[in-house]
Amino acid sequence: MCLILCLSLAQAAPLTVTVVLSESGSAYQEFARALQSQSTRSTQYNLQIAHVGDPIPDANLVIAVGMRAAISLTSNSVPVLNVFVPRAGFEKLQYAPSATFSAIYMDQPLERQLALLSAALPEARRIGILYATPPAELDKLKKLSAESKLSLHLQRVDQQHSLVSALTELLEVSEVLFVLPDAEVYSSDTIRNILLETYRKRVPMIGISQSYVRAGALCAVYSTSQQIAKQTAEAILQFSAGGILPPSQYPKEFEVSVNTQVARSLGLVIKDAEQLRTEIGGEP
Amino acid sequence: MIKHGIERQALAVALIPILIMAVILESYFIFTRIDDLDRAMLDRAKLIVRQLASSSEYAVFTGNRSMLQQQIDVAIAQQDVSSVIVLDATGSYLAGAGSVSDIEGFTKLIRSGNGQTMPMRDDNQVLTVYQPILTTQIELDEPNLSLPKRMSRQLGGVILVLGKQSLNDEKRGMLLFNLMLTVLILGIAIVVAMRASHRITAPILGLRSAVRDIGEGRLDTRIGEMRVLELDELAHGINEMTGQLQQQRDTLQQRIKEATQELREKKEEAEKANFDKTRFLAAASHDLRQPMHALGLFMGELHNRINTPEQHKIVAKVEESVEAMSGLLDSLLDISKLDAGVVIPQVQEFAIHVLLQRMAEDFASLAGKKAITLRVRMIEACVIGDPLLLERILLNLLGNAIRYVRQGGAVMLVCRKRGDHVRIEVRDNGPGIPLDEQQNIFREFVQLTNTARDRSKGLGLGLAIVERLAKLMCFPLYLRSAPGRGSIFAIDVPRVVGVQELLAKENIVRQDTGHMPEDFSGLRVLVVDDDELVRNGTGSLLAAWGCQVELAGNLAEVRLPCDENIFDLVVCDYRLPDGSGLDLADRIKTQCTYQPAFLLISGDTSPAVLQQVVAKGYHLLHKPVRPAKLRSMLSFVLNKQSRDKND
Repeated sequence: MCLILCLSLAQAAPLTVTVVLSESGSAYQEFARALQSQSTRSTQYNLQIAHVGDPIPDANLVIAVGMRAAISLTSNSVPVLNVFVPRAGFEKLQYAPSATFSAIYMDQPLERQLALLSAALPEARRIGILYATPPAELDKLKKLSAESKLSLHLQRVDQQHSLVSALTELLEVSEVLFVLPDAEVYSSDTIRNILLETYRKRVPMIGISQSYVRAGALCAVYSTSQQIAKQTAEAILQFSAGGILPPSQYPKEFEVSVNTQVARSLGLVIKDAEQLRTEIGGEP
Repeated sequence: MIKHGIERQALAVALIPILIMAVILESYFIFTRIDDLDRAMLDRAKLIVRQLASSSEYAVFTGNRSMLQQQIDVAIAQQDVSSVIVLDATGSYLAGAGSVSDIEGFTKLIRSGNGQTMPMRDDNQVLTVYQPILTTQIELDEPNLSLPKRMSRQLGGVILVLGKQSLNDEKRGMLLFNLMLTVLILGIAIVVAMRASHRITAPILGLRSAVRDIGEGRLDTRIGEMRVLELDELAHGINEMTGQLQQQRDTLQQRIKEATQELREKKEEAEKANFDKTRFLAAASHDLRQPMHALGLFMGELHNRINTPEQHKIVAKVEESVEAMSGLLDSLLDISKLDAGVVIPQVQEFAIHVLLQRMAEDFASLAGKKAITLRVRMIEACVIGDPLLLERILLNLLGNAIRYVRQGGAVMLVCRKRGDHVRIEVRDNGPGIPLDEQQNIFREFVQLTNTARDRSKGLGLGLAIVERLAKLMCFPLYLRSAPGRGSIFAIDVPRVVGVQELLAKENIVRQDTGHMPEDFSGLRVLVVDDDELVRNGTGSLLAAWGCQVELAGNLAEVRLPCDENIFDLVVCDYRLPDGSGLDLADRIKTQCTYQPAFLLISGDTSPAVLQQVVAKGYHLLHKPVRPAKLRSMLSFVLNKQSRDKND
């Protein structure tokens, strides 16, 4: 079938794909380069790169990289594949059927994250969740944690509870701080002090990206730009073959990162990253 | 314009640029250094405050005051930090140390959300720096959904107050050090400049003093080698000039010396000539006197011996001639006396009108003979002076006037008051004296109208005597005359003011001039004279007056019987072959107990003789001695002798 596809594509005009980058951040650039390399290997589509604010050249498909690009392309008639967008953010944006407006989320599925938690800290039972906006997947999380015999401690940050007091209260009762994306709680501003507070309370944090691990989280599961690019290239192929985009999905491939320094400081014994990845179902 | 010495100017030239440089450099250095210090302080303050802000972030975030206080304590322990305040995001006070005041202002600042480090207050006392506490940014690769990218959140603020005490001390120390350095540099510059300027000015000052020396006449001054080329040339020039000046001065002095020498020689020549003249006059008059004297004496005797009227007539003629000749000789003698300075005015107060009246009477007959009108106009006044000398003056003036006025002319004797003086004028309407001759007529032997030198008109000594007498008594003498318009001779005599004196002195002159007939009979007289003619003449005259006369030719012949009754009178010639008359006088004085009256007679008119005799207190008669004079002198000397004895 693949051969047939190739042949049909060879006969048809090559697909033109425009990549719109939210900003020239290193991760996005890396993604663009990776996508480019995927493309040249197969020569099934022409790739153009643009930035938010630039006039978008005519294309069969637009790949919006990052939230800003996604937002900027909402009025576009061309099918858009959004990458590097959190699921919650994308679902707020979604205005068209997934056939022409789809996404590859940057978040990892809750299952995978909980699996990492279990793998990295098998002893931990009380899981602290801090949020300002109630997470969309809260019910699912509750269900999953119940399945894993984990007790879930939820703490909301609001007028009555400042970030500090909420965090302090939460850490009193939690064995691990489980990060769910919430810009009002976890931001560049606050992450350092939150981490410092967790260290003082000797509560490890499970992050949601490699940045969290670098900043001081114990570990995190995430997908690299290459992995996303690979998944994107597959989606493009699918689009060129059938004219429709695959439904929105979580990243298929992932990596696990562990901050051994933090583990040592907190006196934790933790498996290495590769082992954890394998344990939670990553392909070797 | 103020004048400055070259040394000061050179010093100024050397010092002013250094001074300006030093001031500019020093001020630049001081200002930059102060600026550096200020900046360093500000930097340090910023560093401390940033450090504190950064380190206190977590404590502020968590509101952990004890942790915050620890960090604040670390900060305040730093040098100069006087107080630290940490506020939270709402501007409320969280923690602090040191004196804390005026949080209100900072609160506003924090609320305004200014995220900059900034000095709040910077004055001489304190430096206040504010630093916001911002959250540390850690990049999280996360998409920030629809929210705009947020700035760092401000957690609070740190206010740091630094005291400037030590900074000010440091500045002051630095300023002091720089000032001292400036002073030191200036001092060194002054010393160096003074030495340098001295090297230039010293030779110039040397030149100046040398020039001053030269100016003061020390022409042997020379200037040594100069180190400065131009000055050396100048010095050479000055030396050369001085040399020439010296040479010229020497030449000039030589000339002056020569001229002076010449002048002295001339003067000596003239003096010698004058002396010769005096000596000639003296000698001539002496030599003439001897025979004249004898002639006079014999004439006196002759008078006594002749008896016919015919003979008397002839003798009278002869006597007249002798008289005239004697007068001429007297004049010569007077001049000699006046020139010798032996005439001493006997100043007294006397009535001038008495004197003038008598003179007018004396000259009346003479004027009558020439048919000349002699008029007298006078006032009654008392004057001060020597009456005899004044009489001599007027005698000469009146005599001259009558002599030169033509027959039928007029002579007027006028006396009138003139302030403190009495002016006596002798006026005539004679031929007058031309202006250019008016000075000459007072010289000896000058007679304007007597070029033939007619001796009956006198020798021309009258006015010379008048002038000398007037000068002697300090009476001003005036002459007003013009050719053909007569002459006026005037003399001012000091007047005595007051009638009483005038009356008291009225009779003095009369008494003095009164003659007392003397009887010389039986008078023992010794006559000593080397001239036999004179000796015999005098002897026979005295014998004719009834004296017992003894004669001696020289000192050796004089016998001095030293008893009570030797002689009453000694008439002695001054110049004797074996000594002088003064020797005899001395001998008598020492040998004899009885002192006879002593009268010296001399043909020598030299002032030296006169002075010698006057000094010893003797009386001297000059030859020729007329019998009348001899007689009056004899009576005067005898009277004096008897007065002395009585005393």
